[in-house]
Amino acid sequence: MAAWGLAPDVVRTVVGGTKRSPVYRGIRAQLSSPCPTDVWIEDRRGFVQYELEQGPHLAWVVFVVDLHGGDLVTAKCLCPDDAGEQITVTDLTASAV
Amino acid sequence: MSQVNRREFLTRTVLSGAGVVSAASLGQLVAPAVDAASPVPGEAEQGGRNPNFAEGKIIGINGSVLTAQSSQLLVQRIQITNSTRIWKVRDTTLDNVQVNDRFYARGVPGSDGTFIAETIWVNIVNIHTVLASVASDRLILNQAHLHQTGDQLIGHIVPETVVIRNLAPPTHDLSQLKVGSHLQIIGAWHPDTNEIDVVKIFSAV
Repeated sequence: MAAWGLAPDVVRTVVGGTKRSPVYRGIRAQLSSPCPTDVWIEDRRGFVQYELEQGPHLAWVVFVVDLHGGDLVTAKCLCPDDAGEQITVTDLTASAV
Repeated sequence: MSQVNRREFLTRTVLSGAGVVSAASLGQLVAPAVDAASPVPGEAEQGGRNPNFAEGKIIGINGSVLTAQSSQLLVQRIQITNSTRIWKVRDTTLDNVQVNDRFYARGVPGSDGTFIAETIWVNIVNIHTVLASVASDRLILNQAHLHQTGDQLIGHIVPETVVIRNLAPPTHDLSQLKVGSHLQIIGAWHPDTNEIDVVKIFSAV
């Protein structure tokens, strides 16, 4: 049975592309789970969302992967402030090798 | 700005540059504002969320507003008012609510996207257990659905702890509890531990 309503080969391409990326390898120890919280497709790109383990502080990382080659397009970390009024978006690909 | 769902928001955000975005653009990441098309209070939209119910983990407290992450990965602001009933083992005040606490709340959606809580239960749990041992200050409990002893719970006895046997009047007398008996317990979880404060014990024997 396909997860997130996607075909298994699509999930393999998108999640596999994410996990092969240097950005993922650099932050995987900080993820609350190696299993994505959500995966979806938009405009021939795959989006893979993880939750970061930061104690009570909430943060997500979203990877964008090209649906054809499985290459990483970008990865952003989203951290809401404690008041839930603003979200700081950090480009993780800028600091990755 | 029209509301967008979580995926649409994340898609739009990650394909844009880095920086700071306003929660005002979050759409379904925050509680939806009530409008004329909202369902009748108390009724959930079919297949959707109940607008009069909120739950989640508290990730921030700002004055009388709780910022919470729900299990559906929504960020929601919970407004506590002077008339909000707060339960955490016992009826209490906002001073005793902390970041990382979990909660269930009943209330109404506010026009600005907040959820106005009428009653909020903090860290409440309702669990089916098997009594493993009894001490003066604690119960050792096996979760009934786990057929092993490796995942035990420690149930702390608190002043509010009462036993209700066969729907008889509550009593503070725990002496009749028998090891091996099945218990339904309402209590308050100590977040991220295997410990709870025991409030009500329902026993058939």
